[in-house]
Amino acid sequence: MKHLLLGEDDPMLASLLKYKLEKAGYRVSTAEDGRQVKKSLADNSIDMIITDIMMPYFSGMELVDFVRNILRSDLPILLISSASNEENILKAFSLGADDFISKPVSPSELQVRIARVMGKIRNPDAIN
Amino acid sequence: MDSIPQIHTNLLWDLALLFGVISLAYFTSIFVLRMINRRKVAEMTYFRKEWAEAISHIVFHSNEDPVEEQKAYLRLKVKIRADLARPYFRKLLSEMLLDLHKDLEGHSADTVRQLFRDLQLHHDCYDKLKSMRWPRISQGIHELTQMQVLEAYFPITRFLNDRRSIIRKQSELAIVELQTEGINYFLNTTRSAISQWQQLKMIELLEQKTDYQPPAFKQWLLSSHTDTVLFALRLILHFQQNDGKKSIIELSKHIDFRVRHEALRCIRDFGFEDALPLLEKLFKGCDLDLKLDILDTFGQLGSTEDIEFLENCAAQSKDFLIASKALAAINQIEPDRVLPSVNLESVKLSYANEMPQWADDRQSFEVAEVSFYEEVEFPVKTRKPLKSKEAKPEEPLEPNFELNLLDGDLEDQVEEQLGVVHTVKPLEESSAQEEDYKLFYQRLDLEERRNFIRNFSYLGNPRELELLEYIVEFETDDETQFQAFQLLKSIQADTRAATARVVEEVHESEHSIFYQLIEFTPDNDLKKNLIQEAGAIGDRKEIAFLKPFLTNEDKLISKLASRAVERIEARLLEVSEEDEYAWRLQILAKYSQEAQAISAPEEDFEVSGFDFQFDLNDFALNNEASPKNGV
Amino acid sequence: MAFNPEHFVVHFINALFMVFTSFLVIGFLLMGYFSTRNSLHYIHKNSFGNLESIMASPLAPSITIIAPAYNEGATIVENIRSLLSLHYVNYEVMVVNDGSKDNTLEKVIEAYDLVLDPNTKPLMERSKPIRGVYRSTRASFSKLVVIDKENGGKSDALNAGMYLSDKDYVGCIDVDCLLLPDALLHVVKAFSQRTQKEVIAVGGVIRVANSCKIDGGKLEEIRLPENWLARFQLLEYTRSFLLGRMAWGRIDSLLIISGAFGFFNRKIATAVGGYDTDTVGEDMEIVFKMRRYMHDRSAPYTVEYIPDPLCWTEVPETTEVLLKQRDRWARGNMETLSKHRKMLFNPAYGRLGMISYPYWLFYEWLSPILEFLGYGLIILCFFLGVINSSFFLAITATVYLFTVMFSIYALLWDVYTYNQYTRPKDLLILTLCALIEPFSFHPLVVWAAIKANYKKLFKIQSGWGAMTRRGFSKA
Repeated sequence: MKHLLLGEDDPMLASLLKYKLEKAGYRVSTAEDGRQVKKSLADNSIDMIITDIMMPYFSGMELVDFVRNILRSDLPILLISSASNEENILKAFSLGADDFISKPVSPSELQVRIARVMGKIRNPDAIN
Repeated sequence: MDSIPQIHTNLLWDLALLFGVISLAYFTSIFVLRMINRRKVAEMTYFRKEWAEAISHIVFHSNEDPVEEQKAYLRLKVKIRADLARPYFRKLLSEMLLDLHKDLEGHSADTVRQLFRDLQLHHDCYDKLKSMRWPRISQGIHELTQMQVLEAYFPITRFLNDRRSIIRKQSELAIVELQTEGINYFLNTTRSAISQWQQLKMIELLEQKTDYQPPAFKQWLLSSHTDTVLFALRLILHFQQNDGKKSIIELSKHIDFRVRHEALRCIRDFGFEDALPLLEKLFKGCDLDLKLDILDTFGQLGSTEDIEFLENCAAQSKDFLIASKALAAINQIEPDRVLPSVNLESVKLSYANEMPQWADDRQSFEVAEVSFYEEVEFPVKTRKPLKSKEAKPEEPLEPNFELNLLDGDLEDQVEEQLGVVHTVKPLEESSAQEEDYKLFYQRLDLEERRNFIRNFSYLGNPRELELLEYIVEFETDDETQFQAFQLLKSIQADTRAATARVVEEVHESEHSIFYQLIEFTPDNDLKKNLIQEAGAIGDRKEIAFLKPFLTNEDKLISKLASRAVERIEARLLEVSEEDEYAWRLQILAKYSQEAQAISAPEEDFEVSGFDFQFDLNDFALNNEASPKNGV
Repeated sequence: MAFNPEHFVVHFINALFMVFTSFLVIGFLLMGYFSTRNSLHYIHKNSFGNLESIMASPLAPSITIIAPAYNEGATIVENIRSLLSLHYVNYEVMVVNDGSKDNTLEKVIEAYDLVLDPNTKPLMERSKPIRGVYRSTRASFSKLVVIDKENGGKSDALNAGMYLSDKDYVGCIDVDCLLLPDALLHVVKAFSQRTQKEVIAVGGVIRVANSCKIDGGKLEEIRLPENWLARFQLLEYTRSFLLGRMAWGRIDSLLIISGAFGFFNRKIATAVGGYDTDTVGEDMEIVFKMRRYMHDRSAPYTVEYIPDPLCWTEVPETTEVLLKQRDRWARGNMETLSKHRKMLFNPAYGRLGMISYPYWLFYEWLSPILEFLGYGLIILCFFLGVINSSFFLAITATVYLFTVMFSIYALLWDVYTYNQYTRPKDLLILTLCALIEPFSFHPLVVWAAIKANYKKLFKIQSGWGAMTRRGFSKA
């Protein structure tokens, strides 16, 4: 079972997404702010990070930067943003995020995107 | 006598006490308020944590779930229904659902809305509509809209012409959002002004509807309510409904000038040339803004038949803005028409007075601007035969061009600029010019004189100083006189510095000629050649030019660019400062001569630029220094 | 009764104090009332409604944010980044490098891959000569324009930006200000929601960012300043922005828009000639000018004010810098008031002439002087032995407690509306500030105003001095 780390500061939305993803067969841990996300990364079993860009204490962008450049890990990251402006998207991708979804979120779409990112990673051709 | 302050003193002490007590009360309320706030937040968080899973369960419930889950789902529903009797629970739950709904899209959002209605929470919103207080009513409307309670449409319509503006605005949005025909009802019914923000919001709502078929908005052009007509015109423009030609043209006669403006915008956008004869007749009765708008329309749609009208406008109008716009329009219809010498004066004249608004009309004056600037800042480039100005003879470039520029040439240029800026007079009659300035100045009325001074800029010509002195001496308006005086003072102080600056700018204008070239280069192959060329002859500023290409997607280009940079860098190490400068001048001279040789004087800007490219390209091909030729 | 000069003096002083005090009290009570009404209205009006949906609309009005920069090399790159990440589509950020002597321009060019734009060769009619216009080669920074011009001071830089912009609205901000992401949405809403009147300008609250946690151009955590001077200013700002300007907004007589966060209708701002370059109070002056312009044309207009905390800035933390800043404000105030003296009690300007202008004249200009003279008189009377000590004590206590009451009311209001400082310790500290401010911070402000008056007076005597072109820095 794949283990997802979900960072979302709105407990309502976090719980809803968690429920949806668990139903889809993932194991989901949640974190309410950026610091928690960072802490949870210590857990080696995590297969993918899904996090809101606007998080207290440690933003999504910082997290991507942290994972890619400090941890030097290519853990897949999917960002959720409350504002889908071009800059945000470009910046997210340039920092090394794997995918991007903007609020309002469709949980089904999120699920599909997660599956797709995971699929790509599993597919050795896609890694270059 | 002592008794009077005594009374005051007592009163004062009482007041002081009062203030003290109130301060204390405020101080206490700060903490009470804080406590209330905290408790509210805590309760809400607790509530949400408690119910989050239950709600998730309900939202993602499906009939295919295993029996156990189905049972759990039922139990949850029963539990919620039992709690619904408590108003406070209902309040928190509806807030929670509204919040959640905001972040969701697609099927789950639908489910949340469905849940909201299943739990009868929308009845609370209906209750809010019955309230007497506007914040509650508008909140009710807002919530109903959010949750898309379609039945709420009719109760809400009665607020459409409410006298409280916020309720009105909220209901307008609700009506447009809830029903596809909402916009029709709104346009039929509204009797109030529609702010720009509202219009934006409503158009946005219409845009977000899926499979939306906008009605023919031209039917509302007949409305007696001006704001409706105005909004209808915007909608027509937005949804590109160009079938209301006759009505729109008629509306350019509307008594409300805002409607006329909007109608003109439609006419321009849809290209209704039939409107022009009418506009010609209307022109006289319009205000300045509208006149400019009409002239713009002529510029975009007019044909050679309209030139006569425009020329009349330019000739008869006392307003510089109008005259210049008219000339710009003529140029738009028939490029170069206003360039001949007869009209030269008026072009410049109008241009000068365009200053306060130049940004708006930038396009119309592009030609004039380009030449103006290049002559000030990039003397080297003026030698390219790109100018349409016949007044300036083409001179071959000499190594000591900057001196040349400072002596006779600068004088010429400055005069020319002065002509451009201050519309004073044709260039040919350079004698008695100063007299003319004065005459010109005398002809202006007070407002124009003030403007003139405000727009006055010193370009380094002694005649300007003379004019200023003249103004200081003879001007009757105090304000203008004083401004002239100040200007004069600051100019006198700055003259020396300004002269120095011109020299400096000539040096600083060392900016790569290749910027200009690459701009007109249509394809990659030519670009590659240019990059190699830059490497072959370039120096420091070419490095700046090349830098962006280092990261070009095209691998070959970035490779070529990096090689070119290396070459330049290597060379820079060898060449000393002075040598480099002289060498650069030679190169530039060579280029400009070549360019002159290639393009005929009549040719317009772009064509000659392109030819120039081509030749350069050949030049590069033949140049043995280019390592990767003929790619 | 024999004429007794001593008694006469005492009476006269008492009467003067009395009158002045009553004016002050009544004025502030009215202010409290109006601001409360206005804030309540604003809060109710904006308690819901989704601003963000408008942000992507191509129909939304266009804005240029002009950020003048002078020797900001250390912070400029980060500041621009924050300006570029606002939630709005149709806007551009125009950074005007006002002839910085440090590496401001180079840093920006490098960080944002700027190249000289050869097509835009702007005129230099309204400002000092412009050396070049730069744009980024990268699509993600397409909203950025950098103007490099010769040094001419802040107003000059703002004018250059204003005349180069071709957008509907221009926003003039300090480059070191931190704008919240929603700022422009609020501004556009304020500009476009009126139907009867044209909105010529929009101003907003300035919040104190000292000691706040700011990261990557984002305000991460609001904290109370650790520096006492900053705390006093925080209290002062809360009073003036949350109560003062809100009240003026209520009666549509707002005469000042802070230079750190002000937006203008570009057409009208340029029609009045932009900022005045020979006053230090240009941000006040332009509002005067624009208002007069509209008044003179009897066009219906208004100036809007947004109380939401959208703009955060650092305030001076040392007495020296603070005094300089206040000195400048006071001088700007004087210059503007004297330039527009025609408005005083001029019924043609309606409330502006009858209420706002006199307020600025008497409260902002005259009051520090009176206060200063008052101190002097008291000391004099004390030495002459003619002081009526019980009266003196009573009136001091009244004024003091009134001031404290007003400050605490402002605090209460802040907690009620935006609730920025939630820790009890912070609130206690702020209350303490309110209690000691009249003895500590307030005299400083009065002193700065007196100094400015003195300097101004001295300058006038020495005739037309050459206008000094000043740069501007943070303070």
